[in-house]
Amino acid sequence: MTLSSLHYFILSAILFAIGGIGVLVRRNVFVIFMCVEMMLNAVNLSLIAFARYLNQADGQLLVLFVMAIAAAEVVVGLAILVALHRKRPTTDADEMNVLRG
Amino acid sequence: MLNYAWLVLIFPLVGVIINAFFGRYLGKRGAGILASAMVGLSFIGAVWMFAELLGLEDRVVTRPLFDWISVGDFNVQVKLLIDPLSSVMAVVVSGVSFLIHIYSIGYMAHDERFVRFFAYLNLFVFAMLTLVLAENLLVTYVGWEGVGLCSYLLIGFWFERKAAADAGKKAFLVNRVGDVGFALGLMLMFVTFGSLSMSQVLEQAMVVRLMPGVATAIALLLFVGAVGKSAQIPLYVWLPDAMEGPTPVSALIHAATMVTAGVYMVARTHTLFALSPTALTWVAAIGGITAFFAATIALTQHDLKRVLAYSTISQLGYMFLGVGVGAYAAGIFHLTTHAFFKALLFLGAGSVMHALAGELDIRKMGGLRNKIPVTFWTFLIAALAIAGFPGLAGFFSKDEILWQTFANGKTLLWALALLTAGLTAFYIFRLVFTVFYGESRVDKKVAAHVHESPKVMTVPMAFLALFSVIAGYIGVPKILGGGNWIEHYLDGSLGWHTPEAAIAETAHASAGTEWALLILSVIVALAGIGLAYVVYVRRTDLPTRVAKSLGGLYTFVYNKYKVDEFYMAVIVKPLRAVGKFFAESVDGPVVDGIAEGIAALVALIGRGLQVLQTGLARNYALGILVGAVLLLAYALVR
Amino acid sequence: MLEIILFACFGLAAIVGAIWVILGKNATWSALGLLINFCSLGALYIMLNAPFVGLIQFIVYAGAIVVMFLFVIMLLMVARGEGQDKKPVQRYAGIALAVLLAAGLVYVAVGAAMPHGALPATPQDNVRVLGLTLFSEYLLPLWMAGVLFLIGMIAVVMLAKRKREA
Repeated sequence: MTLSSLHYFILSAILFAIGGIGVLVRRNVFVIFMCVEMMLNAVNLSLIAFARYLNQADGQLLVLFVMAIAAAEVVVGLAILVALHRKRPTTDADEMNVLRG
Repeated sequence: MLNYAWLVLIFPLVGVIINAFFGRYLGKRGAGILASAMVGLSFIGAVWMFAELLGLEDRVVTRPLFDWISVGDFNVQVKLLIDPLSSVMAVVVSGVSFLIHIYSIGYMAHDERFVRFFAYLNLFVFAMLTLVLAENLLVTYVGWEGVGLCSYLLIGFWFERKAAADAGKKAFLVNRVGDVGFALGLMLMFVTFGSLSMSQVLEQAMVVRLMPGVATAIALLLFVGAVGKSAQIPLYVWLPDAMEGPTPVSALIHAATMVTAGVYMVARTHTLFALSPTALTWVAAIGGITAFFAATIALTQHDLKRVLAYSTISQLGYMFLGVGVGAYAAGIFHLTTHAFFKALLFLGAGSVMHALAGELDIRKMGGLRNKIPVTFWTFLIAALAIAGFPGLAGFFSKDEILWQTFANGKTLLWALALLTAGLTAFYIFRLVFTVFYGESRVDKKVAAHVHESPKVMTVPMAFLALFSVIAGYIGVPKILGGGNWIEHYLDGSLGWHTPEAAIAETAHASAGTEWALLILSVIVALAGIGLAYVVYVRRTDLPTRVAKSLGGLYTFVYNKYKVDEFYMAVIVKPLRAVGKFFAESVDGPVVDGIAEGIAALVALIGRGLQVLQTGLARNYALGILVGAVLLLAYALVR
Repeated sequence: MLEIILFACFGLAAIVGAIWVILGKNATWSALGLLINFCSLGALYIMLNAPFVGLIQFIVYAGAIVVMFLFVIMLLMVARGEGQDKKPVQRYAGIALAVLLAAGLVYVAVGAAMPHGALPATPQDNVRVLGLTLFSEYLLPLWMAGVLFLIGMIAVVMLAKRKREA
């Protein structure tokens, strides 16, 4: 048996699902945020795997861009959380429901 | 210089930009000098171009600048056309503008919106030169609308006064009627010839066999535009009201340059007019009738500037009469001389106002001859020029038009024009005698402060007076030993050689007739002046008595034939009623009803969907996941 | 064979890290799980002939991002647990759907022809190839990423600064 992109893809799908569960189940905004990062990373893994098994550099470059955007996202997201925390000192996402209809 | 012809256009534009954005840092003097200098540079460029053109064999030069629109078959190139016609026009426009800019430095010195005034004035020069130098008629149209905009802005320059603001609106709206005609003419032209480039259109017009109706339609639609811009019957009503603007504006825009754009345009596209005798007859008839009609109104008015405004309408009528009988060169010649002496008359009027603290009613003037001598002498020269006194500019150009009209067999129009010449001499000397001669009727308070205008105003007037004297000598007719230079020069213009012109050439009568007519028109002019002298200097009781004996007719003419009231009743009021009807019965219940109904529907749906907005990010994330799973399921099932 | 063993080890570590994140008592514990997850993925990248991306993964994710998370958690002193979930439906629906999604993805992947061509490993060339492609074909996206960072920086300054009391 040799490894193929299928194995990596399955691993990626599992990690993605776990991340998704975390986003849906946890209520701590920081943990939710981490889970989002994890989902991004899961997708990165399949990209790298495809790049490897198709012998093309494009997948790796895509990952670099995903990382760049993820970094920007984390920075802005954390700044939002800090600003939010000043208004409402809580970390529970369910208490941040000012925008309900 | 021909390769740098765009500089002529760019200088005023630079002036606009600098004055509009940084003018307030320059101070009044700086802004005025900058604006004048820019127009002066433009003038130098125009003269240079003119001189260079003289040295060429083929005097039609085009210089492409850039492609403006290029869509399918529709190509518009911004291209300069420099030929005798446009070069003469450019020199006149920039030259008169330059002098009036300088005059304005003095005239507007105490105005708080001084810088803005000069920015507008420069913008006007830019637009006017665009109009004149454009090769493509669509670019001409841009300039055409540009000068219209500047006219509107400058008429309403003192917008605190309701009269000025209203006059601006009126000018804009009336011009719009003409501009629609012009635009329709351009569209029909494009459909017919497949291009709006002047040279291509003229080339096509010679070759393509048109249905006669089409040529007439294009020519008449273009003429509708010219009627609006050049204030002819029935669209002249805006020009007298335009006198609410500052006097240099009246001189520059509403006497010397912008209002002549219609004449220029007809001369420019005259190949098209030559294709349609019907259209030409219309042009000549409208011109001749307007000349007479406006002159009669000018006889009765008491407002100094309004008399001059009606005089302008009348003189523009002459120009249209000239181009209408196929004497395009004569029309342009009169345009040139008129630009000088009419601008001078207005500047003189401005100088009088300056001396009398803004007074405009000639009944409150009189005896100013010795108090403001420079103004008096320059005004007198201009008056003699417009009256057609032998040897001065107006004499040659007006006589050329009269002669060409007669030679073309339009005897009735000729008689009307001759009568108008007499009226012109009479009303202009009515002004001279009531303003500068006789007893002073000036208010005591004002009289103490009567003073001559500063040098910055009188020097440009002196220059214009000089040109009012000598400008006629570019077109001395053959029988007076001249070569009619301007006519030959203009012959080299784009598309200028036409069968019609040749007919006018062959139809000329004997030299004896020409002499007779010449002497007749001199006699008429002198008679007009003499009559004015008798009535307004010798027998000053006569005017009121004549007015009384004429009774109703005098009042009717004094009220400008009630044309404004007529338009109000026939056009404005019905339109207002229609507008009111649509506002109340259509706009409210129907249009607003639809809009508000849609808004109410959206609000209803929104209230229904409100339930979904729990405000919990986790719920939304779940929604995304549900969507993702559904998409995946769909992809699998498919 | 070695490859399979390594894949199994790092794959399991990644999954364990991920589960650690979602089971963590508080945010600090979760951050440690996240670190494990990121590091294992970095190792997998290196195995997949992408050493450059792998190193970036260590530096940017495992280094910078996790540290930033920890920093903010410390700063706000919010390392605390959660109370009772008032909406259990959300919890079960979420787990079920996520599992369904993963199962669906795996089902599709198994059915499809996945690329499996084992190619000669040339990690020496990796950085050069990436650089050349990045600065030629992907130049515009690169610039845009730069602009994005600038915007992000400005946004953070604006968000984090204390508003002056009016």
